[in-house]
Amino acid sequence: MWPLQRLRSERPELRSCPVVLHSDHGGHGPKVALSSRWPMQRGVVPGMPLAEAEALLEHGNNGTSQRNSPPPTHFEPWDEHADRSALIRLASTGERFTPLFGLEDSEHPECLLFDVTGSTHLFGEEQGTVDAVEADFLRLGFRAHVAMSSTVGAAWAASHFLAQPKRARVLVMSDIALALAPLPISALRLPGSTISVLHELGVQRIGQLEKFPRESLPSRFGPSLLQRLDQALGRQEELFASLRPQEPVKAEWAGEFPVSDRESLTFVCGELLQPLLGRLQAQRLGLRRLRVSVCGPGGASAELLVGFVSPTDSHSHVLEMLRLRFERAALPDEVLFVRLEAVATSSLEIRQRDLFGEDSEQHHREVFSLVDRLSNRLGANAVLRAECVPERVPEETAVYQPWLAASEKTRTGSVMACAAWPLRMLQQPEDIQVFRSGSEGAPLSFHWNHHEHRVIRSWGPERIETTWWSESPVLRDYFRVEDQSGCQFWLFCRLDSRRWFIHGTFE
Amino acid sequence: MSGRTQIIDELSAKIRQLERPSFRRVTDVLRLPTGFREFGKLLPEPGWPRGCLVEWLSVGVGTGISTLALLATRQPANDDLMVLIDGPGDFFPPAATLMLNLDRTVVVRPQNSADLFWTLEQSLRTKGVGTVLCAVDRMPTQAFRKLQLAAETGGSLGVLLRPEKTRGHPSFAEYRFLVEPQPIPESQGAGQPRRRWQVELLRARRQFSGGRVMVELDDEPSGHLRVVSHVASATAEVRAAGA
Repeated sequence: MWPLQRLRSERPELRSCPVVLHSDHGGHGPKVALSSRWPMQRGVVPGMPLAEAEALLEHGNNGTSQRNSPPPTHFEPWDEHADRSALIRLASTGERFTPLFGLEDSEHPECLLFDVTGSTHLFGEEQGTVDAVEADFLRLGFRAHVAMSSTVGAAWAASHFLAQPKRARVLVMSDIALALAPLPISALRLPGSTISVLHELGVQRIGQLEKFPRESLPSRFGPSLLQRLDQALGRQEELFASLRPQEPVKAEWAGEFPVSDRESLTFVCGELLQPLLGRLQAQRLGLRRLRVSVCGPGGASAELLVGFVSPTDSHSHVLEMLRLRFERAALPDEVLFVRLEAVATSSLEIRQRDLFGEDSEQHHREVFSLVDRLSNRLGANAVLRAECVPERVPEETAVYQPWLAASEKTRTGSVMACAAWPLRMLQQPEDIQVFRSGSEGAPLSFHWNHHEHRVIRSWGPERIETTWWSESPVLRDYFRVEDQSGCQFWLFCRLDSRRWFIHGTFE
Repeated sequence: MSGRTQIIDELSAKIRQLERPSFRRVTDVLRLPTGFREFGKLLPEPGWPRGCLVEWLSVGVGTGISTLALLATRQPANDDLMVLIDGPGDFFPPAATLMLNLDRTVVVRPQNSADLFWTLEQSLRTKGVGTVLCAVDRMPTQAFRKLQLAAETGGSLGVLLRPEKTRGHPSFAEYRFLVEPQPIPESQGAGQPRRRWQVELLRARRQFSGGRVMVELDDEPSGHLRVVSHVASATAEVRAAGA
């Protein structure tokens, strides 16, 4: 079952223990939704109150010997949203085989649909294709029952009731009716109520439906039975919604004569930006990242990525960023082809104007524009947001992220303040020569940067050490020292080697 | 009725007065509070004017000038962005969290002086940027003038940290301070880590001013800035930063 596979793939520690998923849809307390095989064998069924299932499994465990009993059952709330999201992500594995892939139309989808019409010859015809699909899922850590047929209904039925792991099935058109006949009624994807009625009439297999007049099926069992039967047998068309990503938004220019100066190149890009931004604006989208590809004669090419802190639809702003990037980019001397592609977009932000106070919307836009200009001229890694992390070793307590990237992520780091640490920390501690040290180990004078410093006051030691099993253990005694001129420095002594270093200055 | 009419007339007159066009620059009207009151008294007028540059001079390394400049110019209640230009790449954020809102601080690392000046100018000229902090050694006069104009355009406060040897150079900054760290006398004991500075106003652009003040900072646990009284050093009055 997909929910159990999904859960176990994300939490490997659950692979060797029984799992029961519960939910509380009706508001009458949690009930069992799904369970793995062992709880089912012990009598746990969907719809059973959770407390009853827990008692049943606990009683079952007490009755068996310790050697034979599995690990304790794990109970977990059923996360349907996570199941669907993970399945959608997994669906993209179908891109290798087809641009048309999607999920089955169900309240709790567990099945992926790949329309491989016209592409099977690339993978060794039908059997080669299903084997390749199964192998891809296996590589990702998932067991898949794979089947192929000329109709969605027949493929669904075959994958659920005929295919086995490492035995993917292919049903050709002429075999469908014969192959489906012995399958249970549930292979037609019917509502539970319809299945119950059919069972009461003694209809267990698809082949038994032939004894009923076709025209009478809708009136006796509802419209879904005939519809599903016809879809499976290919008498009625069935479509599914593809999850294929939208066509990329791009604009291209190919010149008869090359452009050889930055101004002309910028002009060409400006012309291409008009339709590109227009298409985004029609969808109320703004540009977050733009890829610029240029090619010249002889195969010379270059590619740039231009990023924006905030989604933008401003032609002038985007063109200004392009101009800044072109100033420093290594581009071909002559350009014959230019492509602009919107690789990342998001909804344009809508800010409500403050009618009575100061309008800060303009300020926000100018600040975003500044960060864009700085990032695109100096490089994304030169415009940073700092974050403090709770680590022992001082050089590991600060983390920097490019502002362009940081703006896209939710920040969850905690703030760690230490007023007694210096505002300036050397990127690498530097060796110093300590001439004398006092009774508590503090240096009395040291030599650094061509200067002799006589220490008139010190605070410490502050011992900083990591655990012995750390990859690079640290054992240091830090001292804050003030010299004869009132300047303050941060020194430490490595206790393993008794060597002294300067790590920062109090600026 | 006459009372009501009079009130309405007075209100109308006040509204007309407020709506009268003013030819004063906005930067002349708006001032930002200094980090603490006693330091503010050193200035010819209270508070920092918006849209200007302030120079802080010091000699050597480990003087604490960045800390003092940040404390004196920070605007904790302000939502504006802070741009911190960190050319050497040695800014240490954990030591700054009590002085800066890191979420509203952009750390920029230009690789050469041309990029540094470009970054300074762009940042100063942007509305929505409250303070720009940068250590600058050599400053050509033309570049200095461009920065002053950029600050006036954007309305931001430019804090320039410079070596003392530039004292005699031309300046377009509104104020120029000299900061000299002072060793704390032996008689006052070690106690908690702290620092002491003598701050001298060397120059104020529009007015003849001068003056000196001695300030001390308790780094732990309070982070309080206080004025050191020469007469009653044992009973120096503590003032919370941000007053």
